[in-house]
Amino acid sequence: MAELLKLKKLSTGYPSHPLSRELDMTFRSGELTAVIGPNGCGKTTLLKTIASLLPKASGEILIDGKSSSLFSHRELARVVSYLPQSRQIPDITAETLVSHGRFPHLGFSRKLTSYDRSVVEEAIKTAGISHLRHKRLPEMSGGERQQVYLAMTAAQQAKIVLLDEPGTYLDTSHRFEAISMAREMANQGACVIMTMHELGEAMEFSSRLCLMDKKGDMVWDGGAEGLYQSKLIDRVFGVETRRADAEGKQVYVFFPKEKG
Amino acid sequence: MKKNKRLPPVIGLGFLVLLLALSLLLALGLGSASMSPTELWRSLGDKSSAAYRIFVYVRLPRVLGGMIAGSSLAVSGALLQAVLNNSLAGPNIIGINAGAGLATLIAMAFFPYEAFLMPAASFIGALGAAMLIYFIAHISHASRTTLILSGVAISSVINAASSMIKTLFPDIAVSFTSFSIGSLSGLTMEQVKWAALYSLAAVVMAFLLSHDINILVLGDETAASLGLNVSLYRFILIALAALLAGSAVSLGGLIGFVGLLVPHMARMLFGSDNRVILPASALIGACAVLICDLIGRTVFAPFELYVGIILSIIGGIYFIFLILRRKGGRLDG
Repeated sequence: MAELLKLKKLSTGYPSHPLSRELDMTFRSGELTAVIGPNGCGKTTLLKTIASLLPKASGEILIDGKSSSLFSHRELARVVSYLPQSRQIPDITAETLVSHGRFPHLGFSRKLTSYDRSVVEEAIKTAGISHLRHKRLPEMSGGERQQVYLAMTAAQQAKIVLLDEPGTYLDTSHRFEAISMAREMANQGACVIMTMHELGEAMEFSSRLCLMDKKGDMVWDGGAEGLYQSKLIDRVFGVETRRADAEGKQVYVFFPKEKG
Repeated sequence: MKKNKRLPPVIGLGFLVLLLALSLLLALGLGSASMSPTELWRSLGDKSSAAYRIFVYVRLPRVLGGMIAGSSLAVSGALLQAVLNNSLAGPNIIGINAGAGLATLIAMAFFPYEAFLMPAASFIGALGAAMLIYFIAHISHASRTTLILSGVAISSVINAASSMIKTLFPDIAVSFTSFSIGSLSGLTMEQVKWAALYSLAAVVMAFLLSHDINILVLGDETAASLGLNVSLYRFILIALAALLAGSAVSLGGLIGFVGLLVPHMARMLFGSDNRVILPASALIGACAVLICDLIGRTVFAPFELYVGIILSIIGGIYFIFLILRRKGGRLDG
């Protein structure tokens, strides 16, 4: 599969206080990667740095082989999308917000072409929000809004999709919807990287797991089974991971570490 | 609380254009010497008549100036509310008008005969105050309420400086009272011409950017990830807001409430699309100032109330109405 994103000795944070140090990683088309790690370890900082919303401390970010610093704001937005965790709630309809996803593709007149409209329609359909089309964002539940924002991200049609905790604060069914939307974008060939707090769901749904420790170092990059075997989650989070059979499906469950 | 029944923009804007035309006719015709539209028309033919002179040298500059000041303040307020993501922002609230006022007074004290300098000085003062507020917000990560409070503090410092200038240069060619309350009397065509130029340029620019403003109000991170150069846009829009406020202050002094309230009215009528809100604010702002000035100079004739007084009364009452209507809702939300 095509290599879309390459990090070369990338350090995030301030040059004097780097968070993650010298990351060397490659992300490919079709991958759904979950970045996990304790609060404050620099997961969000990593995503924002890749999206060029934060300056990098050192190193290089290659997008399709080209350094991200060579892109203009607009050019970058056509290949990299970032969905922040906390957002404004503007008083506009779902349809309007989704069509804002086309912004980086619009010409000087800022008018949507018929192609732009068809992409917006497709994104609304994929996200399953047709019934919310004319509803205003302030009138929606958190879960509905999340789906609308994900549809906006899908309409942006970037090959690299960065989602900051797309499932946090949502109830279980909305969380699953958000993850399945992310899965759908990966299936269509995007390279999706999302930060997550629900370890079990990260291990179940993503194709690749990146575990950061408290200092921001990437201590694991690979599949769920290997991560379980390595016992790294236990060390980083101070928990005890057990694998269980849930009526034929393998799941991971986490317990507080026994004292003593 | 949210009304989904909103005016279709084209009809609403058309209605506002009609309203503006009507207010223009009334404002041009009525006054201490009233003229019917036919008298108005006839007077234009006779350049030696008193009616002609009243019309061309007194009423026309006053009405045009009022229109420009109203539109400029309203668009300035709409821009500030979008950029600062704060619907309590307005050029008079956060000290921009005060900055413009101080610079105008300084210019009047030192260069009393340069009409073209007044809007420029006014703009520089407005921009200075705007940047000051912006950096305070930026550096302290001030909350939306704190931002307003720091604006109030800055206003009071700047206004004190203005009073000082006025005390030290008592012969400035403008009544300080009428300036600080906001008045359109005594405007000349020369003043109006320059301010019109500045305002027109800024309003056209703001309209051209209105779609991008819609992206900006999605929040810094969302806007940036959609490819908008957020800090550049923010700077440009604040500069435009300052230019507009500066132009208005050079005409009518410290006219309050228009910049804060007119964008609210526009949003209540038309929703939140800045492509509609900006032109709607410009039209409503012009009507509001024209009508209030008309009330001020006719109701207690031959006495004349400053337009700022009428606007403060009507604006203040409307603001209280807004607060009550929300019933515990947040106005700055």
